[in-house]
Amino acid sequence: MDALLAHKDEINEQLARYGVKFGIYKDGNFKERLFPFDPHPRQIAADDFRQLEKGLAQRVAALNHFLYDIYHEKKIIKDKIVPEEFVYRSPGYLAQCEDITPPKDRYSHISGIDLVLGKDGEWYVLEDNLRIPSGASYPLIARTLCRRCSPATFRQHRVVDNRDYGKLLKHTMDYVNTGGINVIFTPGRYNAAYFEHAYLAEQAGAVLAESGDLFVENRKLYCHTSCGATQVGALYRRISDEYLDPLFFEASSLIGIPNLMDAYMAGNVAILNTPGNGVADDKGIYYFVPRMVSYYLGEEPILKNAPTYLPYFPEDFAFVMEHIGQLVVKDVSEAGGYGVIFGEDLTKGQLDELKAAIRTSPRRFIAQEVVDFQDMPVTEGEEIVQRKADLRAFVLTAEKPVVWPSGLTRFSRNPDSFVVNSSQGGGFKDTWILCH
Amino acid sequence: MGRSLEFYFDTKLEFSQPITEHEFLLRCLPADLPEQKIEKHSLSLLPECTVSSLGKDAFGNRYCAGRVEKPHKIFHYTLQGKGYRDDTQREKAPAAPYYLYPSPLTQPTKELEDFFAALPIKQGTLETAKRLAARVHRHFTYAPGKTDVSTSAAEAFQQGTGVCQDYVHVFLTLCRMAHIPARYVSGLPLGEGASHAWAEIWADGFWHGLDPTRDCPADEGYLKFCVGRDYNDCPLERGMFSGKADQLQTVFMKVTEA
Repeated sequence: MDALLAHKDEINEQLARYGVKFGIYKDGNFKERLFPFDPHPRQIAADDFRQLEKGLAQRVAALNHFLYDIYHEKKIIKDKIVPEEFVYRSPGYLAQCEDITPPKDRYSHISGIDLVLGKDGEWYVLEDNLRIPSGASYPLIARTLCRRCSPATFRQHRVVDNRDYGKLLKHTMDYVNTGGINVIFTPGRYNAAYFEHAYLAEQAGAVLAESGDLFVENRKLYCHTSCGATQVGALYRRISDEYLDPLFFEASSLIGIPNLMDAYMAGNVAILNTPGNGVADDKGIYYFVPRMVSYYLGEEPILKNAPTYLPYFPEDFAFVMEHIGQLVVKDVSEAGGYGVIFGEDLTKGQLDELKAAIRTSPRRFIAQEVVDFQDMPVTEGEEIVQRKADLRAFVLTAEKPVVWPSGLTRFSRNPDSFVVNSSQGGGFKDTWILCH
Repeated sequence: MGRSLEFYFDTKLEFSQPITEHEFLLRCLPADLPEQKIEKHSLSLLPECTVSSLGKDAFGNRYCAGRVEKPHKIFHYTLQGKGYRDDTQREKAPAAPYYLYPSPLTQPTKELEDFFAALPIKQGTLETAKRLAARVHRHFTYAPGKTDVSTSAAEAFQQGTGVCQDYVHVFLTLCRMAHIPARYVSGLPLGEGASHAWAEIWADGFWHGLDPTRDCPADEGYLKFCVGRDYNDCPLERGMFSGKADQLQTVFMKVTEA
């Protein structure tokens, strides 16, 4: 392991050369920066991973059922498991997608589930990302570079190979492909995740294309390739729903494909992930995911949510009012708002203000207990320090959900911060699934 | 009862420079409904181009999507036909649940909420909706050119001026506050001139047409094209093309009672 740790700088230099970056918004400006890599891997023992794997596959299966149900029969609403307004007020819900059935009924092909490992040894899901979760390319390329720098480390440690992500992704695209080539659709090289788009296209043997390369004619999607216009059967798009098709969604979008939705509705192309998935990874809907598992699968949920309260429900409302000082409050409303607030950071006056806001529109908020999660070692200069870290696990769904035996571990650079989101400026680690 | 309507709708887009790779999406097709039987209609397009078989969107609207690859300076489409409107033939139908919730262009603001709160309105009925339509009509001064297709209900309400689209957006926002499912309708009323927008509200199992711009029911003199939560769900025409060109649009419509 020391041999690997000694190569920290070389690996980071290589990552910089490959253009492994991400973008952050700071004070309203978009800035791109390198994503610092720390070579201490997160290690998950085989038995622990098997349990995690089961829980993740179960959760993603339930979320796929939920999406199908919401855009078709809406049984979960009729059966009063999820209140109607949490669905129809969700900014991720797209009425334009009602009654459209995606190829093979798949909604979330590539899911990124964010978890933390509590001090109690339990995994807690913090967030589901079912739209365009990014990050698989980071541990993928980091592993390749680590193996190159220190092959001995991987002889001493028996780590499950994670380099089949491209194959998994290809299989996921092939499974829903309606006839034609596989394309990864990127907004272009100025996008912060462009490295990932290009790298995944290479790994999955797909064509990397921008909006100018793609067009729709006679309800079919085509891509200009070196062999002329070639029909596209599966489109892994890396742009958000609202910009996907300027004729069906946001008219001002210049990065979309006009009439893509027409080809999609005709059943002539699969879109990964399916438009409209945002309704299932909404902050308000999160609360209901364990109930979805029981509802659709008739199983006990294996993975836990962070303990969450919805002030919308009177019993939760009372609890939130009483314990607000120890809770994290998140605003789920469509337009900006309060964001994420830690009760313990607020003054008495600010707490009262927040309580008043919750009282006025309880549906707008969720409150969570702060999960005390485990620290991980991070090299900082000559020192090894302890920092908070989370895990984004990737679940790819073709015939059934398959968990990629790796994942993106992100850590906070700030010792006091529980926020490990890369948009807050942190670094990443490889995630090792051990063979034993 | 019932009215036989002959309709003609003609839109010409003229470009200052030839444009290419023109993708378009037209929703200016008459809806075929129990209360609106389309006896015949034809849509002609210039230049001639590949048109997809008619699709149907999530709101139940028929649309026609197509592409003109080669350079052209004119895009011209004409719809004509004959239909029969008879509101006694309406059938009971449930309202899709999303018609009860704010859409992107009908988000409530404090100002709209205060306005609504000051109205003596309690129940979500057809009578309530009619009163709201009258109230919206009084609030606005009709003024073309003060708003555009992206103006929200809140912006239009604040300035108090606008066109049919703005009247409808404010009306829809208020109806939804009153827990009345409401939707946007595009189409052609009896007469000549430009296309029009009105609203439908759902009560007692039926959709009822109301025209807040004219403060009257939108009944058998109105030919329906398409519906949605707000304008963005059902514009009559949208297009994207390559080329740096200015665009001049001329629209003419005529609906007469046959």
